[in-house]
Amino acid sequence: MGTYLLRRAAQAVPVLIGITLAAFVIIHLVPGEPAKILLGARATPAAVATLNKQLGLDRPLPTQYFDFVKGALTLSFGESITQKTTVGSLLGERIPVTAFLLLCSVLVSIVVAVPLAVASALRRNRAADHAIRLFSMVTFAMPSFLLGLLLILAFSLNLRLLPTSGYGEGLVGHLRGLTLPAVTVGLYLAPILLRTLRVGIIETLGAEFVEAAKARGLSAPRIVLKHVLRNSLVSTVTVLGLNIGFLLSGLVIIENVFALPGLGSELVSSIATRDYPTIQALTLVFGVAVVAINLLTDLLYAVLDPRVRL
Amino acid sequence: MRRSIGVRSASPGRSSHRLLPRIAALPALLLVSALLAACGSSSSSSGSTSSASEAGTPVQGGVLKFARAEDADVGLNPINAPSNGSIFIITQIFDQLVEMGQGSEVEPGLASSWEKSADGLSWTFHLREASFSNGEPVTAEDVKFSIERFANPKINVSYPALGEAIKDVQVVDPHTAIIHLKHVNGALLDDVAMFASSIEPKKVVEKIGDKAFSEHPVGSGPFMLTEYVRGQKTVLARNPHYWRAGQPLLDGVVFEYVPDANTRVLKLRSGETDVAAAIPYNQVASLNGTEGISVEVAKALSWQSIFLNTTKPPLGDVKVRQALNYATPKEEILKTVLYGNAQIANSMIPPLKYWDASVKAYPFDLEKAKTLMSESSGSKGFKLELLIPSGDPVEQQIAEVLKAEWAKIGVNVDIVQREVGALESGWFEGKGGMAATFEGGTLSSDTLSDDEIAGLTLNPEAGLHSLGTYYNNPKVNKLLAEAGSTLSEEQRAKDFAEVQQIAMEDAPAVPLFFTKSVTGVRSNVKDFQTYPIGWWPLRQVWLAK
Repeated sequence: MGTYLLRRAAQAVPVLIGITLAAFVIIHLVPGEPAKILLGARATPAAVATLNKQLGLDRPLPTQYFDFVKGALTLSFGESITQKTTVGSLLGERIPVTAFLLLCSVLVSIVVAVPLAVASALRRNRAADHAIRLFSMVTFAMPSFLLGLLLILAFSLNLRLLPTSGYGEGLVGHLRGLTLPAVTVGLYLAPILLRTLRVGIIETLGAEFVEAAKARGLSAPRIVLKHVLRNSLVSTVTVLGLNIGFLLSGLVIIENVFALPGLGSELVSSIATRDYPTIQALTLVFGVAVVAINLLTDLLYAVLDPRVRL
Repeated sequence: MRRSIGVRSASPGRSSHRLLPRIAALPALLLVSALLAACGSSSSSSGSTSSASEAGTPVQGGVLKFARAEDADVGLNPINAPSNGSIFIITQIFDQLVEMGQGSEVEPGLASSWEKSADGLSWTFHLREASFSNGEPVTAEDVKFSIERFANPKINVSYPALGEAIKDVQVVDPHTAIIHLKHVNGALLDDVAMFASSIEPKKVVEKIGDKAFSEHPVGSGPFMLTEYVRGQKTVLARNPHYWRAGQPLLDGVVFEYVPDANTRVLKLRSGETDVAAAIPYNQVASLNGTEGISVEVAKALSWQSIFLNTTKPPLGDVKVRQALNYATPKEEILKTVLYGNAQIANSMIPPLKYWDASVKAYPFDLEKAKTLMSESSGSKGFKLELLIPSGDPVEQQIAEVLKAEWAKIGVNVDIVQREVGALESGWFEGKGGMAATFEGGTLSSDTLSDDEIAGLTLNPEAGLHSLGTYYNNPKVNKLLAEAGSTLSEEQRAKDFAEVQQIAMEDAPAVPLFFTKSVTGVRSNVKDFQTYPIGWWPLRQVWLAK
């Protein structure tokens, strides 16, 4: 196990270097420079040059990249170019929002998907199964911004139960603010889990050990919950892990619609202003998150299936 | 000049930004359309949504909730504030010597009166009794400090041209300051009314420095900053030392950052916010039909244009440029894309102080356009690459209409969407594209008189190659110089009117519309106004119980 973790960590290094290097090269290739954006096109070339010097943007690109790597190793990412704060404190403000949103979204998707998948699999090809699958197709196919707006219309405007947007204050405020976005994301994610899990359960139901359990007179709920579900979860966990990585990038839209101060909206605005240090740090955070989630998925795999040895 | 920015992401709402320095504009996704531009005619134009007379007696108290498309994420220091997200809040916190209002003339601000010397080189300002929000009095020393910063191109790097004429400031006594000029500046009062020349407390800025000051601003304006939460909100409280007796009426204002235009509209509908800025054109009518909400479509000193690079053949031929103007169905675009919320432009710049309403806009006349084309160097037709900001549905719709119409005169438009930063950096340097329009489609003035925008748009010496058109007409340059260096209002009006006429004939651009500010206001908000310069004076606003 220890060696496995070490090996995985070692594998992550080239991945992260690749991601940050690619982001660095691409953003510097794109026309538009931060000093001009910050000072305005009317600033004199001298003023632009002075600011570039202050920002350290007059140095050769390889030097700039190595400085970033050096800083990243000590978790010091320097100052944001456009916002009057350090990149570190920006991340500190924004990571919790996105992490919390992601966590709530995954919880919603599990709460929705697992019972429906079980119900659907047990009533395979009957009306309930068709209804559940149709429902999942609709929420999956609906663009998240549209679903989000529909939820705001229903729950905020008509029922006045939840705020239309914003992160609120305090834990209760955050939870209220995150409810609709988490449901929006959760309803997108749920169908993916539901379908994988449904197939898993159907396959497992046909396995010999299930027949044996039935023959031994175990109750149906016990068979499903204890034996079938656990054996069906393996592939679902993999799918979930992959999708969380994918969702990270998709949160930009949701964060905008619900005015949440998360990582996605920050990434978009920092790209628009060519805020290089912030872009670099965010790319790294996204990279680390995806790598970590994949690792976690594999570890969970081993927990669920004792035959898998790490 | 400020620019209204559309914003990144899928579909923009538009928010305004200064033209050049743009910064985080934030995203507004879906909806779109915009804001800034706006409206026309019918709905409530300019002025207050509900005047005091109809609405009862103003009462003190309450906190106004105001949803905006932009965050003040770049700080609140008047010098070099790079985006409207900050500028429109700076103007609530700071005062200037003279102020902009609804009209085209500046009004008394911290200076209750002023006079100029016979040669126009010395302007004496008499300060009223006023205090900063920390209780310290505003003195001539603060004026000297602030105006000399404004005049110093090493400090005021974003707007160096506007303070350029100022030599120094002389403190006569604590209540009198004289601004000495290097040369006559016909627009001096307009220049010292802009946000960058706000009066700052010398002691505080010197003690804490510019960086800290931008996070902890201290001004003499109606409100003061109490809290800023990045990416979420800016909270202001009434300045207890404000000099206008009985104002502000509000206890405070909370500016919430809500980047998505649809979400802003929904917040307004649900009553979670009292005011929502930057309402998309296509939602104006439906909001106006909603009880308890009205949309203020106000005059703005902003305009939308398709700029033509006159160095790229055949756009060097004035007949080709005029033909493009005649072949542009502005009425149709106004109706179908902007839902009537703008005014057709009869000038290359917005309707500023010396705007001549009698100049004719180019009518839509395909026959005339065809004739001009056939006489021009582009008679065989040509391909025109039109750069538009990516992800902005309004710009895209306008570009599609142009493509269809201009094809009829043999101009094959190739619409190229560019990310905003890339579009601008290429366009101003003459690289990429024969024609372009900017993010959010509109640019706006920072001052009330024509000098700033006319210079940037028509005079290559102003540093932006005439906004990338490379237009250069010695006669226009001479008239602009003359207007800028005289104090005779009559002469200035005459010169700018002549410039307007000549520039329309030379057509270095296809001016489309004078755009408007579109703000949704709930009916409990009284005496709300939008100034043509773009922001909302909030000191007189009150909330009905």
